[in-house]
This record gives sequence, structure tokens and C-alpha cells, in this order.
Amino acid sequence: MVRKAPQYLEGRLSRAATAGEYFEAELLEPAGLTRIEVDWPDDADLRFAQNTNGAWIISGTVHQAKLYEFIFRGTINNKDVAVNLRLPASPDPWTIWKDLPVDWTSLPYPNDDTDQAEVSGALHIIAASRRGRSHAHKALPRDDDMRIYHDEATGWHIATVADGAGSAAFSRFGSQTAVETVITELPLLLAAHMPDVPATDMGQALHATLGAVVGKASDAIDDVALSAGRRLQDFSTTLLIGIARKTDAGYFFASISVGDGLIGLIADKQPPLMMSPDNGSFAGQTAFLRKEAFADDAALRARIHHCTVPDFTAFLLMTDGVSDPMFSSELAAENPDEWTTLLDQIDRSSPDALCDWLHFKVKGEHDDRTIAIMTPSETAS
Amino acid sequence: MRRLPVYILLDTSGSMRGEPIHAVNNSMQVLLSTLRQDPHALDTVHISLITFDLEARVMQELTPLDQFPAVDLKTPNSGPTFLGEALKTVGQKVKSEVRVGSDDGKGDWGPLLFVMTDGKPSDTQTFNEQVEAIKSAGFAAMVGCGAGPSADVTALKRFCTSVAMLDTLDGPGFEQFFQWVSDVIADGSRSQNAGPAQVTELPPPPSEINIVI
Repeated sequence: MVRKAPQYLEGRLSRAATAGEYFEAELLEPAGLTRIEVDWPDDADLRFAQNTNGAWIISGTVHQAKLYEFIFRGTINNKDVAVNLRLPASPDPWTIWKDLPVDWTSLPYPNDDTDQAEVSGALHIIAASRRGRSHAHKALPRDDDMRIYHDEATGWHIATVADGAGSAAFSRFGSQTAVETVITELPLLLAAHMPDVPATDMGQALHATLGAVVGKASDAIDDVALSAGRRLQDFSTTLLIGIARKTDAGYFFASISVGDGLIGLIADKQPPLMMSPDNGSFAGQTAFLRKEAFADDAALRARIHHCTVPDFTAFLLMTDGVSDPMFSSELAAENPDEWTTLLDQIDRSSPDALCDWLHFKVKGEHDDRTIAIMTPSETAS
Repeated sequence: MRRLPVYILLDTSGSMRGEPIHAVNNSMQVLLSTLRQDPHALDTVHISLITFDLEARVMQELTPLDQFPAVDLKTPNSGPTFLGEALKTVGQKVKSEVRVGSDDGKGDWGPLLFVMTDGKPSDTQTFNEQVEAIKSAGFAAMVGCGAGPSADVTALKRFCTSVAMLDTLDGPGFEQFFQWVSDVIADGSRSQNAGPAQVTELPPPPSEINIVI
């Protein structure tokens, strides 16, 4: 009897594998196999078994990240078949991140991959900023920036963080220009219009200080773009500002923001969220520091928040690189417990420790990260 | 977890039979293996593969990149090119699969659409209806590829935000286009400006690809 050469078929699996991770996949094609015989590849521990529905399930672990391709023999309707099977195996993503330095020889507006700072007055401020994994992987610079400030004479504390748009070529200079402008101009505005926490006309005072400085930051970016002969949108950035001071009644806080990220206050009986984030329907969509964002007074006033509390635990400002992985939704950011949980995770022992903490691992969250935290000074009470 | 949903629509009509479909299969495999070297893509990219010939067929539902199986596309001997049906299918899929941000949950990254065809839509009426629908489906970018001399680039231009043209239906051409697809996907999870009128800027295509203005 002459045995016929087996029919050659292409196999199809329900899913692919990841190197080093147990997986199960169903053999979708060909159907009707009653027998499977495989010479398995050396760098894999795999097996075929039929489940109760009669479907063939391949299970086990592959050890390499590559396309596994092998032929197995089988029987369909008493006829021999040879099936070519392709099983792609991905690497574990945590094992393949690169940390590449930026080549500044061909790029303007150089900055550092990380930054950290600490100042102390009646309140203690600690801040850090770190280039995200997704930027480091592609040798791209950090687009976030931050500044903190304390004025002994006036008693004001300022923290500002900014997130340059990932889609804008020179956004690192947009964010830098924004926070620099805030830290240069806001102390002057506060000294002129708000030497103390006003008893009346709070709205007017905050408008003349926080509102005005956002306009100045936007103007400064306009000037930068104009003098560099570049498009305004190449410098797109968000801007978050928080101010605080100790008062007779306790502590006063105020904030203004354009874009995403979060500002929050942890204090007894106090709703934590101190900003209205500009979030679009899809991830990464936000508003940037432009005239349109505060075109009229009502729009500008809606961006300002303030409160006075007898005591507080922490006042935090962060870019979306931190807020996205830490808060699952806008509702979550309104929950005081979520803020306390976050604060408990943060290593605030030193600016360097804070910067190291910013390297935390969350799947899918690899943006630049920046955070500033104000707490009551231990010596001040 | 924020996903980057990617919808790939491939023409598998009879005219793609032979070397062209073989080249597309190879290019798909290269695209997937290239993206799998990118840790950010592995975390976020989800791909749905829809083919169209005399019908639109979801070959692979929206699947995380690391789980996307090997595919082997086939073509019928001859027959029409139901691009309108394919757009209708993808429109329904986007509506039911892509998560939009709300107060109690975060949205996916703006989805991406890639369409490759070597012919012109045979289902003219459905196509005309779907052109408008797909434009309001919320895609951050819609990239078309007209492959070979018979491709109806004008039809693609009616809804795509960018259209590339390949002179011939051969391996190197498809490879170049899919390389660009890979670049666009790798770039897809960056900040996008809010607002439906904003079109995401795409990375430049390889020099061999002609972009139709």
C-alpha cells in the first residue's frame, strides 16, 4: 500500500504568547483533528490537549521573544495532515525599556532629565520632575517642568508644574517659560495686590494675581514663539499653580490651572479637588495655555479655586504623568481617601527620594512625571 | 488602562490574489513584530483586523498587541470590493469598543484607522453613506493607502486624513507603507489636542511613499 503524502494546512491560534508567561490558546484551524503529534521547539515548554468541547488547546510557556514556527502532524477524517503553526511571542515590556540620553547637538532648549527642589517657610515644599520612560526609550527630552518658591518677607509659598504637550516639538521650552514666568511675576503681583489674604473681594484679588500671571505666562510663550520664528503650538503646555500662606485662621490656599493633571488639598472635612481639569473624550486630549482658555472673565474665574482651613496634611500639584496612574477617574480625585492613599505611597524624605519615587511602575503609564507637595513646617506650629 | 485602539482594513478582493496578498501577509507580520519591540506599544496598542472583498469580515476582534495571533489572509478568485461595508463594520465596532472618557472612567487614546485598497468601492451607495459616518466616528487619524494603478485614491481622499499611494502591488511597496503604519501607531499615544476639529499630526512617511495632496 502506498501511503499518500499528508495534506499541508495552515494552522490558526486564538492568541499569541509572551515570553516567560504561561498562556493558553485554542487551535481555531484546522478543525476536526483527532490526533496531534508535535516535535516541540527546544526553547518552549508546550503541550496540546483537547478540552471537553473537543477543541485543541495549546498551553505552556515559551522562553524566547520571537516568532515560533513549527509543523505538526495530525489526523483529520482518518487522513494525515501536516499543519504549519505560527506562534508569535512578545517580550515582557518591562525588560525592553531603554534609557537613552538626549542628543542635544541638534536640538535647541536643552534641559535635564530630572529636577528636584526643596524650600521651607511656614510651609515646607518639596518637588521633583522626571523624564518618562516613553521619552527615555526614544532619546526624547523631558517636557514637564516645575518651580517652587517661598518669600520670607511676604509669607507666600508658590508651587507651579507644567506639562509640555508630547505632540509639540519644543514644548519643553513652553513649560519652562510658563513656570519661569510664574515664579518671576507672581511674587510681584502678590506683593502688589494681595499682601495679605483679603477679607473682602477675594475674587478680584485672585483675578489680579493668579489670573494675571496665567496671562503673562501665555504672553511669554507668544513672545518666545514669535522671536524664534516658530509656531505657537510648538510650545504647547499645561500650567498648574498653587499658592499658600499661614494665616491667623490657619492656612490659605488658592490655585489656577489650564489643562490636565491635578491639584488637591488633604485637610479635615475639606473636599480635596482644587481644580477643574480640562479633559477631552479621549486620553491625552486636554487644553493648553493659550488665550482661548481664559478668553473671558467668567472662563478665567472658573479656573480659580481657593479655601482656608484650620489645619492641613498636604497640598499637592502634579502633572498627568502622576495623576493618570494614581487616580482612576475624575470621581476618584474627589475622594479624600484616594488622596491619602497617594500621599502614603510617596517617599518624601528628600528631593532625591521623591525623584526616585517618580519612577514607579504602572502598566501603560510612562509619561513625564512632576509633583510638588506642600506640608506644614514642623518648626512652624 | 488606556488603550490605543487601531483598526486595520485590508482589501482582500480577487485582484489582490497571488503576490499582492502574500506581500500584505508578510508586511502585517513585520508590522506586528516591529510593534512588539516597542514596550509602550505592548502596553497600549490594541488591534482589530477587518478584511473586505465580497463582504466585510472581522478577521480579528480588537486584541491587545501581545495577544494578537499570526494571521494568514486569503483572497477569493474574483469579485467586488465592498469598502462601504467595511467602513460600516468599523463604524459599529468603534462605537461599541472604544471607551470615551467620563467622570467615572478614563477614555482610550483616540483610535486610528488604516485602510488599504487596490481597487474602487463596488458598493457605491453604502460607501457614500458611510463616508460621512466614519468622519464623525472619532478617529484621531485615518490613513488610506491606494495600492497599484487601479486604486481609487479619490474615494480614499473623501474620508481619510492622509492618503498614500503605491505605484505597484509588490513587497517593497507594502513594506514601506506598513513601516509608516508602525510609526504612526508608535506615535499614537501622545497628547492630542481636545476637540473634534483637531487632526493629529502624523510622523513623516518613508521617502518611497507618495502622499496624495
